[in-house]
Amino acid sequence: MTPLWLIPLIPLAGFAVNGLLGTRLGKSFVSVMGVGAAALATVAAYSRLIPYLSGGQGTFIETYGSWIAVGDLSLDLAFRLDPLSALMLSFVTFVGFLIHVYAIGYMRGEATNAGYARFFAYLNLFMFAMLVLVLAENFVLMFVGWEGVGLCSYLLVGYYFDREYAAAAGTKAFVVNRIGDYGFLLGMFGIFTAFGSLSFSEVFGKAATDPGRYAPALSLICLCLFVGAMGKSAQVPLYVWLPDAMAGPTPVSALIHAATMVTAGVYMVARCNVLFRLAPEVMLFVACIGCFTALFAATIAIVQSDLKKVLAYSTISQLGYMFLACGVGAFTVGMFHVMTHAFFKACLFLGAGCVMHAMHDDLNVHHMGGLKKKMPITYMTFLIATLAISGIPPFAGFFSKDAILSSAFESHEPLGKVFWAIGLFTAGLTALYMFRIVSLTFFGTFRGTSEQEHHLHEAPRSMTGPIIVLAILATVGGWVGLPAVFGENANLFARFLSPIVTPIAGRELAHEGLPHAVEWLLMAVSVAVAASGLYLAWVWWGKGEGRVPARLAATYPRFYALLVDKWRVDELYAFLFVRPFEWLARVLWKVVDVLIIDGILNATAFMVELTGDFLRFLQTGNVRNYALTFLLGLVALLVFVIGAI
Amino acid sequence: MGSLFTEHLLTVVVFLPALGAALILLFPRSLEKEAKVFALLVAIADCLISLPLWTRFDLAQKGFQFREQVDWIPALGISYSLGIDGISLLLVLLTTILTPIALLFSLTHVEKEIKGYSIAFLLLETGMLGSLVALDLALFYVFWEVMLVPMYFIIGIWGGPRRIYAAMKFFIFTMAGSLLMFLAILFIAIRHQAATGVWSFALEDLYRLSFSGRVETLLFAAFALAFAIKVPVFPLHTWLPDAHTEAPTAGSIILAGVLLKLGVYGYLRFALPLFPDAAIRYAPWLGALGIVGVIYGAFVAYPQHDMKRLVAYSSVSHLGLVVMGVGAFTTISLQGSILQMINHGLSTGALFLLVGVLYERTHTREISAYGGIASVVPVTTALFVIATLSSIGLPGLNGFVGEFLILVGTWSSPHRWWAVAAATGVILSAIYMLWLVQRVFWNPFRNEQNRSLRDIRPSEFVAAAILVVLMVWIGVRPNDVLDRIRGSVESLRETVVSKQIANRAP
Amino acid sequence: MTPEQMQIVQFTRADFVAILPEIILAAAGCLILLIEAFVPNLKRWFSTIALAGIGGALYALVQAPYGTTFGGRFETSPLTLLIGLFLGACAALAVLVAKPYLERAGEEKGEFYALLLWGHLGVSLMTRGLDLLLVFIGLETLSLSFYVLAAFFRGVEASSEAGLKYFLTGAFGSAFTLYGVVLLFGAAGTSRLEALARPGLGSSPAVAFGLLLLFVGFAFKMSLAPFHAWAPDVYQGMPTPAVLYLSVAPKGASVIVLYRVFAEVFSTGLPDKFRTAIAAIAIVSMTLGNVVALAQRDIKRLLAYSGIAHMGYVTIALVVFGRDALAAVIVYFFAYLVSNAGAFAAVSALYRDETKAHPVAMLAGDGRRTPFAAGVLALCLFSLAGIPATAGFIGKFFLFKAALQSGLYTLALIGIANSLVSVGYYLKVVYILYMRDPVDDEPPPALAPADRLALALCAIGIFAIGIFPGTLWRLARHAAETLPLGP
Repeated sequence: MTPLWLIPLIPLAGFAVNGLLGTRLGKSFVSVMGVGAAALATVAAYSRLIPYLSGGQGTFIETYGSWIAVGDLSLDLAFRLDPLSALMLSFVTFVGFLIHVYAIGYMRGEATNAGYARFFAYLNLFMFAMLVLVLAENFVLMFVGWEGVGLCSYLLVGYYFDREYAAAAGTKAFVVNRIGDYGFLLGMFGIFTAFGSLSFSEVFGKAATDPGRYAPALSLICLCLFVGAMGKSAQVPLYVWLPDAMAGPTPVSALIHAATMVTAGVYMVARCNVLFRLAPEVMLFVACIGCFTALFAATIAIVQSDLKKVLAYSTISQLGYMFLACGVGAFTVGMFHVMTHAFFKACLFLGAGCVMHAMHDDLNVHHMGGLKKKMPITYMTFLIATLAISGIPPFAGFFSKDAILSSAFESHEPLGKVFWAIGLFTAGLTALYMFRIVSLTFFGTFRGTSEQEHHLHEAPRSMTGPIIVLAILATVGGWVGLPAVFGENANLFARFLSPIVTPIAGRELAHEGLPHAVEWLLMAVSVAVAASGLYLAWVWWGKGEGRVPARLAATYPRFYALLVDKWRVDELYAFLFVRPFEWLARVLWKVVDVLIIDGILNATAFMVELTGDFLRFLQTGNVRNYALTFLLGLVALLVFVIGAI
Repeated sequence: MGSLFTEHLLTVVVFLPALGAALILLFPRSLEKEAKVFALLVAIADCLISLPLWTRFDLAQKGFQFREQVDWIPALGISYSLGIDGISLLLVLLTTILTPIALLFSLTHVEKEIKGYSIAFLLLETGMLGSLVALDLALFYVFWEVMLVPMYFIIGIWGGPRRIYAAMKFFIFTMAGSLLMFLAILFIAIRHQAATGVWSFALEDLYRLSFSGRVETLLFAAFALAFAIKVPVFPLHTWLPDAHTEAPTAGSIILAGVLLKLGVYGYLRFALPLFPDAAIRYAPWLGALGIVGVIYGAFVAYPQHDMKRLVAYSSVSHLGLVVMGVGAFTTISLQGSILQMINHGLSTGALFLLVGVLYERTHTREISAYGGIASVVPVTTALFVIATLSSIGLPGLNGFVGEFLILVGTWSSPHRWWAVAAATGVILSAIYMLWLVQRVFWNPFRNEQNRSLRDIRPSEFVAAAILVVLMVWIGVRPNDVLDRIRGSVESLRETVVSKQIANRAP
Repeated sequence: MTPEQMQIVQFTRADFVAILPEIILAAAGCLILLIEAFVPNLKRWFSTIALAGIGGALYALVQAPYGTTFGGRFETSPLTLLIGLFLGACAALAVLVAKPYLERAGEEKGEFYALLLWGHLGVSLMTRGLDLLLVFIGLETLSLSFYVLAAFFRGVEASSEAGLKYFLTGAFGSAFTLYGVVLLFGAAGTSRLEALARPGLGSSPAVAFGLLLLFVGFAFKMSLAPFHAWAPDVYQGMPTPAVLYLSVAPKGASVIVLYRVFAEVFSTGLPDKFRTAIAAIAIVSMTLGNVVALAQRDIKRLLAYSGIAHMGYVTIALVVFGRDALAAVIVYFFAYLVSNAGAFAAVSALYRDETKAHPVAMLAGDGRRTPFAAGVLALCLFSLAGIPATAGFIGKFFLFKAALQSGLYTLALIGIANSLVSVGYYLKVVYILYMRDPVDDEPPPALAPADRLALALCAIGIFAIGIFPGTLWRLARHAAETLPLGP
């Protein structure tokens, strides 16, 4: 049986080799090395997963020794295989592998060997970090992966480091994530002081068996942890880094900023579901943030003209859905959406990558149009993925999103229905903006320059291959999670994942399920909404070449501008945080350090020297004065001593 | 001879560099180049000789090991007594590792007054090692002060344009602190003589003393001031940026790597166990100053346009964290602080070294003179990024372990809010360091002269690589280090706590 | 005739043996003058003869049995022996440095050595005399010879001016000393010190008056503020080797004398008024010396003020007043000898034109041009600044220990604060030596062997005392037993 440590170690090795020798050994070697590492990791992972799935699924913990042991804090190097990590493992490795393959074709144009090697080295390093994150058995080890993926994101977003915006985007991504990690850290401190341990099994075990004792501490802890999740999974207000992160190469956007890393937050919340369920108010908060993010990002996505930007905001929005699911207690459903989203969103990004290639890195959808004929495969796959994300049955997205909406609907929180409504509306928006870009990109006539048009071509096989696979997954991926209406045990996925939602002592898992009629109804409604979204998009941009939206924009110019400027949140942050920070920094330096502290010191030294200079003039060189001082001194002594004896 | 390396290992380690310096003194001027190599060899030899300290260190034993004791001024019970525990062990090794690295770097970069330079460095090493292993207060003070002189020359002769101001500031600032400590040391010894009738400056004897509240406070203040200046703790830090900026690269490496640590070391070894009540009473102040240091240092580091200055202020920030960990005084936070001293030595040492690599080529430390050079000097860039990640505490590298332990330890102490405040350093450090990296290595190519920039030399690479290896090692296997300080920290806490109880008793 | 007078007339062998060192010195001086008068071409042997004289005197001193002679007016004791060594070493260094110095100046006159030896004789009398008159005679012998030495370069205005100033102020000082002697004589009925021990004397105003005058007289010799004004001018004009001696030996002797006298009168410890007064003098000297030294541009003046400050530190030990304190003073003076003499030796070696001023700026770059002399100068300055592992630190160590032991915390703090200030100007010289580029391209004169020797001896001394002070302390502590003091 494959030991778990082997799985992350393979890509790490790939990173080491490509990082140290890649430049010298040339592109073909690097590709073999990089993709090979990813492939091997996938093989290793599945060689472990398949027996796991077939055999009794449980929780396996492999400990490889102590990592940090101080006082009563003891952290092991330990990996954990349970349904949750198994799920992540399965698609992280596989999707990761696909994207590695895609990258060969995509990065071929990369000028230098060095750059090419660097890219694949980073990609492998990312795989390593992500796998550590997924497999970790304690919070701190998870944090290693957590920040590790953050680092790779930083490096890969800033891959084109000589472009200022790319470099800046990388820095921004890291810093904003750090703000989240601040919360994560505090959360870990809290957990350690509350539970005296940071290992998952211990903490969750204690929490589940003795909820009464730990519940009070947990609301704050969970809040901190969720702040971490917000950063990593780009939730309002910490989402601002993700759109900029699109400065990275497209495979990176697909792998890191769609399929895997950004879902780490959801994974972490699902991992800690025991803790979160003991902090209902935080759950509510999670749901609210998720719900709002979903809507907020969707509104922006509608008017963006940069293909990848639209996808980025849609990612944010979808992540919102996932948190909504977690917030209403449907953790399995959230994870379900994580998986399906990985498929269709990766597919979309890779498709966008093909378009980008064809369009010579021009991503403005208004310059495109009619690509359907020129790049059929890309078109088809992109369309499928779009239908999937829009929630059209039988595509993957439908099942996960529907499940989220229905669990929102049935959730006992007073706001459940509101969440459902907003979620539903957002679903409509999703269909709208997604089909908008489809229409603008693939339908109608080409609007770009002639030589762009001349260059239009379908992507090479190494790129189309992965897309096709992902498209298939985006189609069938959802069938493992059929809703209950298709039969009691139709939802294999839920059944598989159910053990991670460990029962808490003295609280039964409240889930009686909706009556089938209601469920059918909800399904129908959501499909209808999605369909109408598609239709509207088709009418507006497909058939009508965007005259209607143009008119709308003209009627509400202010609001339109606001949307185009993404609600001017970046500007707001600059005003609220960035500039005050820079101002304060400058003041502390120039005023406190230079003026006050050094000022005082230098002044003292100067005063002493000055006194010296002054006293020097008493030294007139005139003997009479000498005698005088002499006498004065003597007299003083005499008066002092004799005068009193 | 054998016994020399068994019974007198510490003496050998401490004085081998001084011996080397004495020999270099005899070199004729014509052999200056050779002097440099010789100095390097001596430092390497010293490093190798010091390794047995690590291997033969007895983890089970809590007290001092490798003890040596010879009467020095019997009339006053002053003795030449050496010994190390886990804390000093680590710092000693840090010193013996960083000194050859610094000299290795200088190999290609120092041209002027090479003889003097080599001598100064070796004497400096003796000074540092001595003050780390001395267990007699008078002896400690001698080494402690002797350190200043070579550093003064290193900054003043081989430094940058404002070197004289910096050297003076460094010397007088530090002297100001230690002079008060000098009086305090005398006072303690006198008290001991008054109490027991015997003269003694031996640390363990003086540990037994206890003082009345006000006296203890004053003595503690005298000691704490000396160490606080060395660390340096806000607002006594302003000598550091100047010293760092003007010092030659190798000087900065040692300054950041070892000298600053001696402040914290001194606090742990002397101020805390000698005056536990005062130390604990004023711990909140220490913590507060530490936090201020963390945040203030980070803020001031951000707008700097001189690379070395920026790194210098980052040291203020990092050591603030260490100080806070000491102030919290939990087992975890203490071990974290001690580990973090080592980490800071490695990461900041590496940063200064790599800044030096650039400086030696372009002769400017202005950030604005760079930009986009990653394409020209990829290896330097990679190393610098790794050092940066270590210094901003990326998990998997050394920095994280230290930070995490300090913070989690502080959180579990009564002063939970310290951790909350200081953890912001996690964000701030990322801001100023990554922004530095972006402006120097990323971004569009700004300065055409940098096209011809030569990437890192083999000697420089070796120097930096050693540090990187250590960073990774500590990051992955921190227990190797932590095991060695565990006992010492426990006994330190025992000493303090038991003394507190003893003082309570009457 | 009273038995007392009898004793004076008789001149026993013991007396002769006891006074032999002084006789040798006097003889050596005369011999040099005679040679200069009759066989001038032997002049290059002057320094050798002088050294021989000093060496012989020391030998005789070591040989002389302990005890008092001349009817208890003349002492040979561990104290005088140790002080004798101190003075002898100082004189020897002065002579060593003098030879190359005078050669460079082209003024290789025997009278220099003769006067130096006679001055040395006077100082030695001061320290050994148990009779105020004897002490005063010693003092005057010293003064007279150094008045002349101050004006040694007749041609140079600065030098003759120095001589004149020194003479005028010196006469002034001596007058007070003599007045003090007379007062004490009047009070005690005899000029012998032991008579002052008579109970009750301590409280009489006349005695207090006399003691103060005496104190002021010697404070003048020690150049304690406010009786210091002469020092900078005189140092500047006087030949450096002579300054080397004058800046160390007489000061040490004066402290010993004061200790003797005070010990006789107040064996139990100084009355508070005296303590306060002397403490005040100490503080003023320390502070004024250090602060004004910061402003000096001439190395000899700078050292003069540094000397004023150092005598301030020493005076702390006078306030403490006890065996440990006296021992501390002795150690301090040995340290001060190697450091200060070394500094002046280096100065005399580093400056080309002896008759001109000695601006610090001229030392620029000498760290590279004449590494040895510059190195020793730097070392001496660090020692004067009291950096550990040098003699200076040991001196301060024992001094401040004594101060703290007797609870003089304020005084100790002020002293420490002052030594911080002093670092300022000592380091200034060091960085000019090493961190400034030369102002002129003509390097300082090549080091003469004698200079080398003197400098090397001082360097060795600095480290010897700095690293192995144990023995010196034991000797000093033993010597301090001589005086009737409290612990």
